[in-house]
Amino acid sequence: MAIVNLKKGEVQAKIVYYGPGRGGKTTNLEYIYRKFHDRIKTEMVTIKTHGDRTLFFDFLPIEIGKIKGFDVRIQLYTVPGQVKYDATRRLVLRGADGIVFVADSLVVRRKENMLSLKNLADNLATYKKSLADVPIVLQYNKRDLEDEGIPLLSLEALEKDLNSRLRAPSFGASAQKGPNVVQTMKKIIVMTMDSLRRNLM
Amino acid sequence: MSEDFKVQVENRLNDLFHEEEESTDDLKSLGDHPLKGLKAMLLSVEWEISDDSMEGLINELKTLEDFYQNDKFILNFLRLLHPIAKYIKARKGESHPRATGLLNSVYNSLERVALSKDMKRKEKEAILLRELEKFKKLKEDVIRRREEKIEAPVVQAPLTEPGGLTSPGQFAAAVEELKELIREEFRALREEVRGWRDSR
Repeated sequence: MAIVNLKKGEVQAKIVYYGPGRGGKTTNLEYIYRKFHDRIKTEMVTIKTHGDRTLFFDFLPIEIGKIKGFDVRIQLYTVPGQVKYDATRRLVLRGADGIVFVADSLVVRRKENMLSLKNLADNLATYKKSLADVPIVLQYNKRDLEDEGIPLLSLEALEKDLNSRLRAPSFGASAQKGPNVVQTMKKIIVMTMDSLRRNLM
Repeated sequence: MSEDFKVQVENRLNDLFHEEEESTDDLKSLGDHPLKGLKAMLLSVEWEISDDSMEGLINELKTLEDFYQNDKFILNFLRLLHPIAKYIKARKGESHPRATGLLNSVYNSLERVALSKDMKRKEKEAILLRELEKFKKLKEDVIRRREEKIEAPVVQAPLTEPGGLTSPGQFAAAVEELKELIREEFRALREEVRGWRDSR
């Protein structure tokens, strides 16, 4: 949940990158960190298992600076995508002010995307929230693999599978190479800040 | 008021996250280049480390080593990829966390060298040496870890923000999950040490 300190003029919001394992959640944060390390002046914390998988979560705080007189700090988190780490995922999700759902564009990952979105809805329900209550952006990752001849789901198919009810903003992206990684982040931050303004201020 | 606020947030984000024009090199397709097959194999390894994917990668490396017999630099990159691939094939999901990253790093350097027409010999040498250093460091880390007292990953204070844990049942489930993860890590480390000892 966002922390708003009116006395000190500070706002801190939590954004969680959610999605199936190996979908590119950590790679999104790594790209942002690598590209803007000099500007955001914070460190990324990441804990990985053997085999390069997220063990607990990744954490990247970003100082946005002053907006309407408030010092704004955004905390980006990822959850472990592997199915078996659901309790950990639920804990990281707690208090999320905004969510980026990172779907895998590979044809063979269609089912995992849908299961992960359902898992997100189930876990939000444990906090008495629904997908409609939290600002959400969908990212269809790995679009660059099309150039390598790897079968990908079309953006239309992904929209139909994942976004037909939500109608959330969505981006085709490549977390490895960068296209739309920053746009995704900017969009969720704007939506989250706007939602906080409406709810809290 | 609402639009004004949004515009202010957007402007601040645009200032902070302004991106320079992407280098077209990053997005360049390999077309019919001989490395195309290797890249495809690496992408399949990124997706899943299995006997089939690793065998495919190693076979592709062998083919390319024959193909590039007369190109010393490319051959050295391929020879650097080979033992990493063999190690990952042997350890699979239990290989060192940096091993797959190094595989990608060496490949990216190889691609850079292979696709560049104007790169000078010294620059190629420097790139190759950097990857070689990373390889040595990884090998040293694995060997050192078997001699050190193994410590469990420590969860720092910020990971559990005040009020961040919910019901006792959820907390207990998360603790159990973490305990199991730590046990898995220890098992994996022991296996890894055994694997390196066997491969020497």
